[in-house]
Amino acid sequence: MLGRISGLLISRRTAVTLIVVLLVLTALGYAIPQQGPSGLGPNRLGLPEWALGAAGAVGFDRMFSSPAYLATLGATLISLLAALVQSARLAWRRTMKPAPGAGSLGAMHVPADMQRVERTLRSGGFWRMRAPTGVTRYTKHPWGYWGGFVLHLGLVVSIGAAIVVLSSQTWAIVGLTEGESRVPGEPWPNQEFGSLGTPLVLDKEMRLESVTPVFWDTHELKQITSELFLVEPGATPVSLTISVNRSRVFDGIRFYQDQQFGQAFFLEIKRAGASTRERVEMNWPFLPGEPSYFDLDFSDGTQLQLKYYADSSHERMVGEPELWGRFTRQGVSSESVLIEQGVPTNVGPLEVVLEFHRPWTAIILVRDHGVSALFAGFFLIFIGSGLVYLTVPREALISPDSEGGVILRLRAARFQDMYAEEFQSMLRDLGATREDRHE
Amino acid sequence: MSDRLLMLDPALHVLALVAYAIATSLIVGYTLIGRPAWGERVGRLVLLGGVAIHAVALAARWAAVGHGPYITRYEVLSANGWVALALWLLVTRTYTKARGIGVILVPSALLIVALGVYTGPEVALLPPTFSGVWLVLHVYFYFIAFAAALAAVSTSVLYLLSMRSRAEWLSRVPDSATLDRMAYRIAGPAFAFWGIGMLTGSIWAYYAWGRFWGWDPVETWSLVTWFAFGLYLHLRRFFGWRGRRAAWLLAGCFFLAAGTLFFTSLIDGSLHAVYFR
Repeated sequence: MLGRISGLLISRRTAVTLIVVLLVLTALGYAIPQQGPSGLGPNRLGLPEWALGAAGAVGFDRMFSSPAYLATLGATLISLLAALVQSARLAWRRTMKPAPGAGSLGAMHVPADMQRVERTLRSGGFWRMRAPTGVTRYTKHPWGYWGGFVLHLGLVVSIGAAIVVLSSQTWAIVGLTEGESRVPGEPWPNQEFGSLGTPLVLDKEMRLESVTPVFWDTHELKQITSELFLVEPGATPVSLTISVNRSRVFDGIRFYQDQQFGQAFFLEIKRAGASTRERVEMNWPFLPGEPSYFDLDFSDGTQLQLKYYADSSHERMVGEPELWGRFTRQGVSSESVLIEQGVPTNVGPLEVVLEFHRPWTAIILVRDHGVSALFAGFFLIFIGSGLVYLTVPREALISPDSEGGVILRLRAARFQDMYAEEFQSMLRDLGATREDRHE
Repeated sequence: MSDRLLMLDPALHVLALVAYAIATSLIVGYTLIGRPAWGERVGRLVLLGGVAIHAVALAARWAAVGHGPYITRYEVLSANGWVALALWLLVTRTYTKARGIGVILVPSALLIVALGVYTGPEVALLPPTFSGVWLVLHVYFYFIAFAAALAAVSTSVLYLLSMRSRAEWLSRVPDSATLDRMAYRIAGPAFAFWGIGMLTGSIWAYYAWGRFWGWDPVETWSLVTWFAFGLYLHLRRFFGWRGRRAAWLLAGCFFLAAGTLFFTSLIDGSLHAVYFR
């Protein structure tokens, strides 16, 4: 029974079937809109409603965490493990014993003594290996026998580590303005964690000291750098400077600079005798002369439509931001009005006061386990691929013959035809010709 | 200095294209009609000259814009074409059997470079996430993977032609059995480099965005492409797939690869959306 299961796991049909299933499911994961933090993704292929409903019923709208995908991934992992054991056995056998068969060129009679043949082989990069009695064995790139094993090992380690990382990872994002702090225990506005993950706990006050965008001459964003302070009562604050693609690790948490940034406007809005305060975080405009937009929706369906320019001159990306607003009801908008700091401004039926504004950005925090193992798996895949394709083992078996010469068998572990010329050259050096084939 | 280099870049690209066009005429002409007798040899020399000029063009642009050729369509197509031709010249220096696939590969690479030049040499500066050694490794492994995929599909196309026709010119390319084996041999490195490109991209993504895989359209189709190449290799190795069906499957793998690199990044909502604009 165990043998049958083991046979099924390492069978070639199983391997190909799993590849096909993964390929199809992954492609479906693109075609079918996927559920994300902000709802269902785009219906790129214009699938009809009934198809979307059917997909959702079987969990295909969360394809990559669906039972079908995870089960296939699990089966692939088990199959790879079984293949790993088999490839280790094969690699060991090939390393310890010569391969069966006559060799790619058959057995050749070489009119040279053993010492000369061995010298030629050694100078050609061949290593002496274990062999049965009566036969001397040399192999070039004997480590190439282990390429398949290392490649499969890398796949197993990577998939296993990926499962650990995904299930244990905790990811959170928080928007802060300059000078603003997030205190310990405050809930994260947006947090995700895997099935084995736990909510992210940051037991220090996190204060955004400054956020500094830098632009190219073409006004495209070049970099954003934030300075964070992590403050614990009675301890020296820890300063972390992070930029996009330059994260920092502290206390097991990696801090990333997100690409979202802009201005946060703090507004007081009066309407029909009632007053509310709103914090509006607006993304940075792409160009100096073009604004960034934000719509503040009210419960009665009306909107305060805001736009802001990076600088009041409309010529620079950094400077004194300029905020404009208009009131919209049922598609009809009032005139756009400049909203200046501290100045009560009538925007349609609203009275809006811009209390203050601050630069704003988003910080991503990630805690995970197993990433080092994941990258180690990647490295093994890299090494394994190199061993498979760049270090194909070539084997030479030599034994003395009755005429004072040597019988030489040459073979390559893979792609025999690619090494035919190499072998022919070696035989020519040793004085053998086509007519010297040994039967 | 940057302005001068930026002016030099398109001119050198055009010069390289002219060299490639002459090389294509000589190589394809020799293969199809057997004349001139020196066509293949001189064609390779002209091609080598074109590759050298093209290299200078890429280097000039790199120096002028401050980043490698991996942001705009102009840069990406140009670099992919260059890598394909340079690697083909290098490999066929010793592995002479593969010279025959030049009749398909060289004009294909010429078209890719020409398409890139057609899109225009406008400069796009580096977004903040596009930095670091892992990005560079990620991009260059994909260049190599695409070059291998192009060589593999060229071999498959030639194989399919050889199975449909008894034309005289086919005697100047490797026989169908050799082409079939060669396609298999080249698909292996395509699969390996494609996989390593994905892995280095994962590492880059982790350090840039805090997650090593996000099912971005480019990532998803990259994985599908890798599975497809893996399927091809397994079917050949373990199920004895040969001949026409293997050739068609390999052609499908190539089209997946081209679609992944050149079309999926154009989809909005992709983290790769800044690339290939």
